[in-house]
Amino acid sequence: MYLLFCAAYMGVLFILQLLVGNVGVYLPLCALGVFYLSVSGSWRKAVFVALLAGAALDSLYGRSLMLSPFTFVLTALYGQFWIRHYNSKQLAESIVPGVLIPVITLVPLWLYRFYSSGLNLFQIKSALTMFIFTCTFGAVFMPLLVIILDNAAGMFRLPKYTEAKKRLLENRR
Amino acid sequence: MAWIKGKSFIKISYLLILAALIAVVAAAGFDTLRTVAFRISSGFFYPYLSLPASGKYEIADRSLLLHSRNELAAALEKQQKVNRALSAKAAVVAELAVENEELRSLLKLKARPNYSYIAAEIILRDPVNWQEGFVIGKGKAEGVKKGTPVLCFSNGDSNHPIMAGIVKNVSNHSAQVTSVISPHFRISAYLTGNKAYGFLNVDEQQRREPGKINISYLPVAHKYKTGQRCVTTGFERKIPAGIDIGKVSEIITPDTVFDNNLYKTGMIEPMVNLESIHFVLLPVFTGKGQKKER
Repeated sequence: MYLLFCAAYMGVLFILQLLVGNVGVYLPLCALGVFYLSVSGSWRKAVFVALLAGAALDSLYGRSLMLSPFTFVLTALYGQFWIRHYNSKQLAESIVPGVLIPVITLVPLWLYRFYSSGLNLFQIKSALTMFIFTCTFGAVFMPLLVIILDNAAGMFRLPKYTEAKKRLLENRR
Repeated sequence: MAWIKGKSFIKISYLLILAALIAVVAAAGFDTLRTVAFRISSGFFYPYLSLPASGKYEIADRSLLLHSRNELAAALEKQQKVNRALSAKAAVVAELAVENEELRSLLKLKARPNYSYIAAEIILRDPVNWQEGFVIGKGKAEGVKKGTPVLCFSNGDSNHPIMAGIVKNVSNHSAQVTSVISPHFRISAYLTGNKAYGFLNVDEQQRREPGKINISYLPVAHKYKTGQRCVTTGFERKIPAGIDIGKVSEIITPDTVFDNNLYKTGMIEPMVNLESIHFVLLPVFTGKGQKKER
């Protein structure tokens, strides 16, 4: 049941990211979904999903260097770091990963773009505007994603993001 | 204790060797895996990606029913007028084609290559590399092949096709296109006026400018001007000759002791507007025409 739930929301986020990308807007929805999975569930599943989603995204876009699997895996590992040092119950704190995850996913892509296509002020301006927009979006969307997915997980009695810290402390005892 | 240390050292060595082998195999299979990954994922996601386009056409078709009979009749008459004009033009062109074939056979010239045309819509674009490539909604099933040129029309002028890119990878119902601006777009090019040949994006040492195409191996003896037309040469089997690629924006003359002074390089400003391209045309090479027997 948990696998089906993960597959369902990752599938929806993946398709949404592709459809929104068609109008020129980059939204790191898959990466945010991987982060949610890593915090609320198992980091191993999150790494597997990260590799799969990253490879599918890069191969669909035809990127010459497949960086997304690595950045998504970093996001999954960041989720584990996050849950160990912060309290997942505080929704306001999820703004911080919402801002950092776009940076993790975009920096390698833009560095490669600067290397392969040349660098000028216009490129830097495009990169900065994209960073600002996606970080703002992540900051707003991450708490919303947690609320929506936690409500859905609650309906099926599945592990929730907001209870992840409590589970971790209980497992340590 | 030393025995345990020795055993864990061997275990770590085996793990390192295994990791190195996996890395070598992954690196070696990267190109193949990337192509295969595109075909599998585009085949899997094609129904979802084509859904917005299908929905759009369905809504457009249904909205026709909202028009009155008089409006529909007027639109039909207008379209029939356009069709009659185009049929007359096509008849003239057909006569010219027959005359051309006869003259070519009289002069014993090689038969012209034949092309069939496939219209396609762009269904997927990378928001990070917006101008460097896109995915179209036609693939092997519709006759698209790797290396097929991708054309579009400037400002809706159907008499003036311009080069938008080249098909990089094909799956059953979609194809990945490398645009003219991508550093991986490599074909020969011809500068009209000078009658000089060059090559696009082959010199990796040449400085890159975003939005421009590098041209290199231009003969050093010629004098080049900015604004000169750059077109396809026809050397590539699947790409017809004479299709506009862009205009010369800069020519760089070698002027240091380290340059070979045999060739010039330059930059081409592409004619295609990749920001707002939606529909493309693919001329698929179907073979040489038949010589007419007298």
